[in-house]
Amino acid sequence: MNFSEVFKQSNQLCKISPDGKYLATCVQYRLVVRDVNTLQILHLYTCLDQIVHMEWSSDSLFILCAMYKRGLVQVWSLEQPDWHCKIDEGSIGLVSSRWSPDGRHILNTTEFHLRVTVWSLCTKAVSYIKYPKACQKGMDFSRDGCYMALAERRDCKDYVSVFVCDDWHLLRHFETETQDLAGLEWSPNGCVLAVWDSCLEYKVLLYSLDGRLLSTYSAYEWSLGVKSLTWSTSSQFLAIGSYDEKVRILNHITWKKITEFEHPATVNNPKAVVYKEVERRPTVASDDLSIHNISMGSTLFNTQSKCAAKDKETGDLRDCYFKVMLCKSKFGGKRNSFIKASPLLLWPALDEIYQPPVQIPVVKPDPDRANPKIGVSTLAFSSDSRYLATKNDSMASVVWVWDMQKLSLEAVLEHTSAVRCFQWDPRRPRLALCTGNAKLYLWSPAGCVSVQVPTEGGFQVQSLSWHCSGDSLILLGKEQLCLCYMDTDQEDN
Amino acid sequence: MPESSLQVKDVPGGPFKCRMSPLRQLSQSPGLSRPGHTPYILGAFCTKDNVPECLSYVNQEVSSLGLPPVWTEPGRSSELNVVAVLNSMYDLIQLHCRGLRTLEDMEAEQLRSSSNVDFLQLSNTRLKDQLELCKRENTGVLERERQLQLKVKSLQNCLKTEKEEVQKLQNIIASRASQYNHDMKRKEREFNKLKERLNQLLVDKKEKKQAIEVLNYIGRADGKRSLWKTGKTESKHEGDMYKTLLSDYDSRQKELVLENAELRKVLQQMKRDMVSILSPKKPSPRGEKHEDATILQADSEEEEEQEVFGSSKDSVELSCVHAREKLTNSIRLQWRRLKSHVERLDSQASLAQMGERTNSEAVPREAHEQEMERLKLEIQQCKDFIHTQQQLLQQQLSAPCDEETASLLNDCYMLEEKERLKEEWKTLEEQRKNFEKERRTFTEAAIRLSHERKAFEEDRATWLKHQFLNLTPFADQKKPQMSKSKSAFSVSEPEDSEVSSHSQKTLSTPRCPSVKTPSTAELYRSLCLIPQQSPNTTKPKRKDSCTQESGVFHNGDVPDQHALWNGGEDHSDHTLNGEHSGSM
Repeated sequence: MNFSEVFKQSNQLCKISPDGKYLATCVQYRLVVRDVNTLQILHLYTCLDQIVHMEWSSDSLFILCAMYKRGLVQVWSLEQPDWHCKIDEGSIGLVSSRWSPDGRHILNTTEFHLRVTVWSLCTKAVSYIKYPKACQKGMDFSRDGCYMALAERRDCKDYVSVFVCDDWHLLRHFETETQDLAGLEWSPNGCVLAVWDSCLEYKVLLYSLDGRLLSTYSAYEWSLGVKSLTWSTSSQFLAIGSYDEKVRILNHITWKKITEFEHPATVNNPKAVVYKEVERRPTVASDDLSIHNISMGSTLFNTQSKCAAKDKETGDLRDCYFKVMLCKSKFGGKRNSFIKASPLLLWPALDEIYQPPVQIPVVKPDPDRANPKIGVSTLAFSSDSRYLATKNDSMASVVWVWDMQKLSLEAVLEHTSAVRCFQWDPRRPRLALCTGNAKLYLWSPAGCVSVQVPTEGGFQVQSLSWHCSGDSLILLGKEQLCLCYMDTDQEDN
Repeated sequence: MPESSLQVKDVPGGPFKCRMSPLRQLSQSPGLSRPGHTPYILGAFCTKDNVPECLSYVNQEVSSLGLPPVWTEPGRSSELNVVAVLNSMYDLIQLHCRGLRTLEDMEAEQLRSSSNVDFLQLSNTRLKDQLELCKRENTGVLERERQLQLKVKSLQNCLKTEKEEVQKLQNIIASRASQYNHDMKRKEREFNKLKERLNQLLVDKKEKKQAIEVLNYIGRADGKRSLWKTGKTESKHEGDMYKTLLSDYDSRQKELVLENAELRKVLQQMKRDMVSILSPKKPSPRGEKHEDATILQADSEEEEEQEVFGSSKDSVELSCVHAREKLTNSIRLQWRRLKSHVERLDSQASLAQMGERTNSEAVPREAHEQEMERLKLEIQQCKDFIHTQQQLLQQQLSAPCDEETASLLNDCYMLEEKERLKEEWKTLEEQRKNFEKERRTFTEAAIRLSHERKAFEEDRATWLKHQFLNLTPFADQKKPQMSKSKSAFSVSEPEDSEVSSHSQKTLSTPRCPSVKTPSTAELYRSLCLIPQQSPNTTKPKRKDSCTQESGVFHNGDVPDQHALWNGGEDHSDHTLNGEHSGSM
């Protein structure tokens, strides 16, 4: 595992182009485009104000920079650095700006959700879509970029409009059976639209592309309902996370519930592996042999940290990459090989706990407050739809990994602090997560690993995102960023 | 109790004694036989003067007691009838004794009854106490019951009120919700109006309008021009939409069909397995029942076989309803049969158990135990092994880390390496064996070659002789010569080795051109290879192509020979050999 040097960044705006060649970062009002491999600056654009939002076009040729306060959007071209485009929404205001899937139109949502303005970069044409609904996720493009679904509110009723992105032709317009529509999401194959109601009512509706209601699902009544929803990449499963701390999985044929995953405070499943992060200094083996696995890791750590110290004495560490080994421990416990990634400043990996009844720290939410911190707020399927990672807000430091083939709990990752962000490798079943400290955590079916980001000055990983090849990761600190390169050849699988 | 009993003894004793004292004194006098006292007693009651009175008195008393009179007055004198007196005295004593005995009995009886009375009195009081207690308890329970009933009543009231409350609250909530919804709608409408108004105002506003500044317009991502919106585009969009939907359904259907087919395959396999499991039972009918069953079985089997074929054929063509019905029917049938079969087996097994419980179970138990012992031992060994390993590891770990751990790691790698090397060694060994075999074949081939060479030499000599003898043009002579050489080969070969001439012919034909070119030197070289072969064979050669290659490197003829030999040994290799020599 290698780490790049640290770069500046602001507003956590840092994105890799869809083709994986460029890295765009925003520093105050400047937009910097680098080559992903060499990290050399290729282009530098200056915007009119501090950039609040930045997005690549789908063909990686243009970058959109939005300055919401000023109601401005600036577009830059990678091919022609002197080409520019500026869109001024005027006094009507701007709250959100995004590319259309073809990368030639920009959709701006005005303040108060008065309308959505569609600006074409090919012609000067402007079109308006009225009555967009202000909600959790009111707009979604199908994966192939053909269709856009937009939630609307007219006459106190919810509607969904399906547009053809090609020429913004209104394909379908239908009323939904929701009290207060909260969001909509296309299935990855673009044929089914999942619509869910606000948290006051547990209701998920599934519409076909042509506006037919395929199915309605409601797990219970009265108490707070859907909190998050996600499709598996195969469109086979629909995972619904709710305020009752459960995830329900629907199938794509009958749209009935296959199973539900609970997030109990005590993990009793003997087949699940619980990884618990323990904050302590590495100590050389105590006489307890049952933890020789860990002590092995720590002795590895010792030798390597010594190497690091030697390196520090001899060479300048800041400019060179940190070359690190992945050590496959042959002494691993019950599971297959237990990988320990050990960068130079390695911390003992998450310990493996074998005894099944494991207590998980739970923070009871304040019942009097709105939006209680409870329920499954984040759901993510791995790229092969084999695993599902979930996070329950009342156990913020724990990420649960479920096996979708066995429909059972696979692993529980307990950290010392709350998980900020987790994301699956776009190629492999590998989960990266961060908890706002200087460590990067990786989980794969073979094991769990934590890596200290070897930078000076307290780099705290707030968020992360994978490169589309799955070979590298962007780690975002508060005002910095750094790239982490995986050792692909030494990886399992 | 003892006191009372004493009293009981004493109290009647006192007066009894007092009362009876004269009589007892009378009766005791002979029994005690105190001679000194008797005159005193006689003197007190009877003196010489009053004997007759006394006699009459005694007589009277005695007769009153129902005894024969002691003295008969008129008959004789005042002499005592001694016998009669003694008899009456004896009777009196007897009477007295009896009286005493009855008295004692009575006393004991009284004692018993009095104690009985006491006991009864005691138990009576106890029972009275108990009764009292029960009565008290009863009243308490009654009181409690009353209280509980009161409580229940109050709770019921409470429940009623609560229910009412709930109803009221529900009503309130519903009304509030409807009110809230109404208000929300009103507000939303207002909000929408405001939005509309705002929109209008902002659109009308001149100074700060929406604007786009583009340096120059860019082409569409697909490179096409945008089209006018017409009815056509609309229908095209519709068409596209339905196309995507259709393709989705298509793919899904395909998936389902695949899945179905797979499931059907599994089902059929299962069915076949079932049939095969159940059918061997057929030829062992024991009674009429079984025969019936077997007939049924046979019938159904035929049906099923039909079904098996039918369903596989019809799976695509037939409507699923039919297929399903068939399948479910057959499965049901199979299942029934399996069930009955299992039941039969069960009953048989139980019968067998009943019969030979003692015999059959004794052996396996022992076997089990032995097995257990063995396994336990093994476990112990494994544990020991692990333990020693752990200890070693521990030592390694606890030792100063730097180089130790490195060496440990190295050891691990070494171990891995060792394993890998072992495997390689194995493969090498195998290869070596192969080469050994090959070498043998080579040597044999070489021997044959030498024979051939001899023949060839002879041939050559004759040929040379011919050439020298008749100096005719070459072209005419060559071909027959070649054929001659061929014949020479075919003649010589069977003599040397037991290779069939048939295979030899096919092989020798392609060899002709090579025979034409090789010089003696080459042949020598090929012969020289015989000793060289042995080191060659030990070289790692895995595949045939490899050996061929190496052969090519050394000498053109060697692989040919090898192939030839192979051909002789294995007839199936003909074509391969033909190809090979052809390529040469």
